[in-house]
Amino acid sequence: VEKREPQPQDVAPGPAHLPRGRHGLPRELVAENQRERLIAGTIEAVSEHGFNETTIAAIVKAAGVSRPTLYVHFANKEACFAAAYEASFEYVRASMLAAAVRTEEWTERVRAGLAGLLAEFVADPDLARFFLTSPAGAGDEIAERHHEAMGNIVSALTAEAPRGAGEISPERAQILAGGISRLLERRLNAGEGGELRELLPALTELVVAAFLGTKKALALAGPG
Amino acid sequence: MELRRLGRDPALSGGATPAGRVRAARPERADPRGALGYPRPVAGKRVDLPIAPRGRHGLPADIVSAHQRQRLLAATTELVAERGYHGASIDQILKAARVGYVAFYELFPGKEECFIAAFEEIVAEAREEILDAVAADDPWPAQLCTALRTLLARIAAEPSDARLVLGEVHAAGPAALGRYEELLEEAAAALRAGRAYGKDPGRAAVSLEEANVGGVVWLLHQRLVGGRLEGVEDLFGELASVLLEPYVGAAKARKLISAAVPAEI
Repeated sequence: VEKREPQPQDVAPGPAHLPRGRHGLPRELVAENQRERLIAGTIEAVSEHGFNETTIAAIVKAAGVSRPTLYVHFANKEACFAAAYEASFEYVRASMLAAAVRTEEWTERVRAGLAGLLAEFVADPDLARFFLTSPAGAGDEIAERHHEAMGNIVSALTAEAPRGAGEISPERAQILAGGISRLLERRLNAGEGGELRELLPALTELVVAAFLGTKKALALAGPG
Repeated sequence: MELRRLGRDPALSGGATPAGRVRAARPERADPRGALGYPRPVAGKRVDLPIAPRGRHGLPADIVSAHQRQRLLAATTELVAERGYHGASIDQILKAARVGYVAFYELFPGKEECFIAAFEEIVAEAREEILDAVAADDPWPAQLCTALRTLLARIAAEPSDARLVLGEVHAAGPAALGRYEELLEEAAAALRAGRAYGKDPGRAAVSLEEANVGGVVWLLHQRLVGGRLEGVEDLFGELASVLLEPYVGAAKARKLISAAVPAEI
């Protein structure tokens, strides 16, 4: 799957440092750049240490900004995490939808969307660990937000299911989100980032089965 | 009762309870869902565990130590449920359990190991209850329904246990997470038995059961972090249909589930 052009709302993988000293750059531009670097730094630090073991020192080091600068933008670690989470969510969702939009047929769209998701996580394992693994240990508020966001991703992925497929309940959507997360996390934990792509048939089958039943899903998306 | 009041509670700071005798529940503990009140009865088993008298008492050391361990596990469960893994300190756990530092460190190297012991005990009790409830000669789908109903009832009855095993485990470090992974593997293996029952067992992706177990704990976790565990038994129908459908089809799954749920009205 080819990588799409980056969008302005994306998490920049590594925002560049601005020149030191007097540079005559507008204040807003500097602030924007600092904020982006802090978000990228949070993702890097948390994906390495986990939420609870991540310190403000680790975030500012990864971001390449000073500690006072961090506090200009965020009140505490939780606020850094929340901002980084929202940026990641927007980015992951947009990547998935951009990949899914290329095809018309529903099962193929689901497959393409999942492929886009996998490609993003393969390209950026830090982002994958941050987005999929860290929210569960980052407090109830973040965990709740993650459930809601993953439910949103599942709805976006499965929008316009064919007639006769019916709608799935919010609970069923959550079960699906949990199934997808579990398979991704297991591969990530095993340190097999590159092999995430191999999950595509199983994930497609899982999603299609939630709407059409396992038998039909196997016929449409199963092996062979 | 608030935890910080524990030290001043005359009922707790009073004399030791004679070993072997269970103290009667105090009236202010009548609300089982109230904030932390130690020692809170858990699953009707760790009822007000006796504390050895001070000084020379002639009680065998291993019995005293086993009681201390039980009190520590109960206190850990309650404190972690109330304050989160990182919010609960060893000091608070010791105070609530009425166990000293030396005794604690003779039993556990640290908080993480104490947490894992509490995790293991909760899981062992739940496993035992589920295995007791399941009739070995029932067909597989009926066994699954019984196991699921037993699990949900237990989660609704023991929200602190559920919070430790399904929630705080994510914050308690890699060793605890490893135990959690093993638990999910065990559940997935139990689900895989459905393949022997189903008519077209072999074709679904090998990861189906892992995904379905992941889906179940995910939904339970959502209820947990949203503070909505009390109605968790209502999820039985939705969960059972997801777990049974791959092996028996949607229509048969519906029949089995309505047979497993006593009809309302």
